[in-house]
Amino acid sequence: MSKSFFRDKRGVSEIVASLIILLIVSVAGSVLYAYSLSAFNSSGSSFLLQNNEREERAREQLLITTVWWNVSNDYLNITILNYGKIELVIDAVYIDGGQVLASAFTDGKGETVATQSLVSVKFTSPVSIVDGQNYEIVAVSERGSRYVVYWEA
Amino acid sequence: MNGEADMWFIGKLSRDKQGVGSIVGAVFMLLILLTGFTHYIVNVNVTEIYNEVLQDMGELDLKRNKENIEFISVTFNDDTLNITAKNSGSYNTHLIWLGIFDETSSPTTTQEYYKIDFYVNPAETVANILNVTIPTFEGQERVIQLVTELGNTFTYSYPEEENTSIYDFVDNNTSNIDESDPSDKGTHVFFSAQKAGPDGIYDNLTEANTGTGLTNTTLINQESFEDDWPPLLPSVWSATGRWNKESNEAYDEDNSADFDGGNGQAGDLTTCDLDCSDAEAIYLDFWYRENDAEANEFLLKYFNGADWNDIYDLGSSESEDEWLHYQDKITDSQYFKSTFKIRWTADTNENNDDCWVDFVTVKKEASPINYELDLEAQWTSVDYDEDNEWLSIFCAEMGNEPLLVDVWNSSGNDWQEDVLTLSEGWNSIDVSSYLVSSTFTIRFRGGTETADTNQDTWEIDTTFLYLWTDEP
Repeated sequence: MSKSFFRDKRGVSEIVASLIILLIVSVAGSVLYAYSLSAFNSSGSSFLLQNNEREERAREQLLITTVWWNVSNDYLNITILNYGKIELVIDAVYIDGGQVLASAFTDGKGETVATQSLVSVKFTSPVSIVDGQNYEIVAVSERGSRYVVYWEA
Repeated sequence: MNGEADMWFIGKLSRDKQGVGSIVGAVFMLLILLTGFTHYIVNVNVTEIYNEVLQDMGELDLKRNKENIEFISVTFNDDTLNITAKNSGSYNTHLIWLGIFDETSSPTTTQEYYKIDFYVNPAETVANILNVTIPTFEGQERVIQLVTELGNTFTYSYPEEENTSIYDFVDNNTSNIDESDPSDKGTHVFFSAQKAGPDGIYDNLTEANTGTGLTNTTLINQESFEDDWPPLLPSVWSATGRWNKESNEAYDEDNSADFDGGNGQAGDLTTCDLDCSDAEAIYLDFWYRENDAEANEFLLKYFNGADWNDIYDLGSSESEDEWLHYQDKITDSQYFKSTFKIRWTADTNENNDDCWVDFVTVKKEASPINYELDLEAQWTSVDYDEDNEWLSIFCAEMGNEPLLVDVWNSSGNDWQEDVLTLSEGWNSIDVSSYLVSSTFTIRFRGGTETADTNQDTWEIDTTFLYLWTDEP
């Protein structure tokens, strides 16, 4: 009788232990899977995002076709062609390294430019324009594509 | 019994639980691996798409670099702007914007762009590249800009600045300034190719056969069998049976070809191959003699390249023991072969059935072959008063025969010959002494113009006059 009891007790203990181990394995597995899923999603999303940005930047092509300095009102007027495969938005312009302030733009900044279209970007130069001098003009899109032209006033 | 049964049951249960734990762990591991693999596949696909985009954009850049538009002229016709331009690039160009800029210090108008939609094929020159109305600016200074779909811009200053250098490509190949007959000898394949380049597009000049009339060529010249037997001219003849050279009878000099007849004696005297492939007629002339030969014992035969044909029964003559003259003009084209031969066959049945042949002459009448090239090329409206005036020709693969260039000297009204011997690559010569009017003519001529049996072809890429005046 007592032998049978002890044997029964040992049998119950194995069940509990097995259940506990099963629980531990399940919890640990769930935690590990959740972590790995989160890690994969995180890195995957980051990769997809970066890749998407890179791809869009690769498809984006811009060209400053002409620069016109209107002496009468001291506006610089640059015409930009979108010859890429995706629409673009002109975000910033630099003259000899100096950024044109947002308030200095009168036209073109933030305007969506369809492919094969031109946009006229008009602004007051951050540096004074002197006739006959050379200037480096950089146009930058929202995606970060840039086009540099050296222009003689 | 029950206790042992329980223990067995619990022990079994315990083993089952351990198995479930392993399975659960393995499932999680599989899920993790599957998730990782899925992300890997997605990343690979995304990277491939990105690479394809990069490749596409790279190809567009390559095309962009090979795009080139040249302004030929910008004029106004009845206040309508007429732009003529040429695509000197390698790809079809799509013009999408026309810019007109007033870059004077006090511009009267703003800088304007006009939307256009015009395709220009490589090497194509097109006029009226506009589908919009442009306010006239005739006589005023403007900068005109064409913008292409691939992102190139090409500019032109209007009105046209005085050119300091001009590339004037050849205009036509229809002149006959020397009034030669025929006006051209030889052919162009694609003369327009000379009007642009060098661009790898060639005009092939090919000689034409100008041989005319008929000439006689002697193949066997009065063979009288005096020297070698069988004769060796023009190459070795053959003789079988009793054919030999003997002096017992001779029409000319001391010997003749002689066949001593006899019962069952037969033999052939055969000339060598006589090339009559270009013949229009063959003339055979010889003297013969027989003694007691009967019909079919002394035959004349011709070879047509395949078979021997009996032509004449020389033994059927009743005039024996005297020299008889045989002449024939062969016009049957079956004998106009490179292996044409003549045979005298003797097949006798008695002694004294003797046969003789002497003084054999064979001539052929044929059209001569002579490949010549004489092709004029002419410029009209040439700016002939520049300080420097050079003729430049770019050639590719050349024929074996030299290709010469003559220049028409209008003051002497004749050709100044051999001013250039063309070779592969650039060929240039100062022609200022010949360029004295708005019309300038050259002639391409083959280096061998008589008895030229080889037809040559030369590849010409471009031909132009380079005209310029040095800046003061």
